[in-house]
Amino acid sequence: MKKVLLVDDDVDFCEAVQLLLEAKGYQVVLAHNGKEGLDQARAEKPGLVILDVMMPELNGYDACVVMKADETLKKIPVILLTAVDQSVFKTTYTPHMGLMTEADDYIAKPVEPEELVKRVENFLGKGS
Amino acid sequence: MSAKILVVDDDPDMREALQMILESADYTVVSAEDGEQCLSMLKQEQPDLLILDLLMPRMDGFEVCKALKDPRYAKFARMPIIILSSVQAGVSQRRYELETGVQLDVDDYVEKPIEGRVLIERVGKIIKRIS
Repeated sequence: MKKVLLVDDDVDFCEAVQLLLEAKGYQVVLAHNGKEGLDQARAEKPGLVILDVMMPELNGYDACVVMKADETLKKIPVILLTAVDQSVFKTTYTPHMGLMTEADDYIAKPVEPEELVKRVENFLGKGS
Repeated sequence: MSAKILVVDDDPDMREALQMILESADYTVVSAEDGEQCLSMLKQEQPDLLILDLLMPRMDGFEVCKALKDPRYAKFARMPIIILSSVQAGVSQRRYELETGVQLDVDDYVEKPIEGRVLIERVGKIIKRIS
């Protein structure tokens, strides 16, 4: 079964997305901060990671940066979930951080369920 | 034993991300938040490589480069330095030359923003050269 790792500190959001994606035939594993997300990515080897940006411990940008630098994780596509417009953080956040985010896709919150499923399908194909 | 890298950057997020990236490539990483802390850590930590930000409060990266030329730090004269800065290399070079009359003598100059794996590659090249 195609596996999605969802990393978000908002438990209600996680639950909603988990139900949605499971209904579409994906397996969903969860983590609630960036550090846990990295651990889960290493342990679970998901086909796709959906990362929220604003999280305690390690934020989504940094978690993405670390994933993309890690030989064992860099091929896993990452969708960043953010309340900030994509053009803003591509131009302002990244240079400030000094490290390129390199996410494969960006989704602005709030996100329509159909839109989220569509983006997941872009990377994984339809669920089983 | 894995090479030890001292990361000097005033941005805590940057320090943390760099630390995780470099550790994932099996380096030992220690970090300092400004030039003063960097210099005070050298003796105890004996790093193999310095990754140095330029624009920092209290003591910046230029000052660190100058200080390392001082005989007091002769022991670290051969320690390689990678500058990791959002300032363009040419601009930094001119500033340093104007202030000191000599060239900024570092082993690599990386302009932010950078991809994590590119940094790992550039670090790897230098570590390979010195080991």
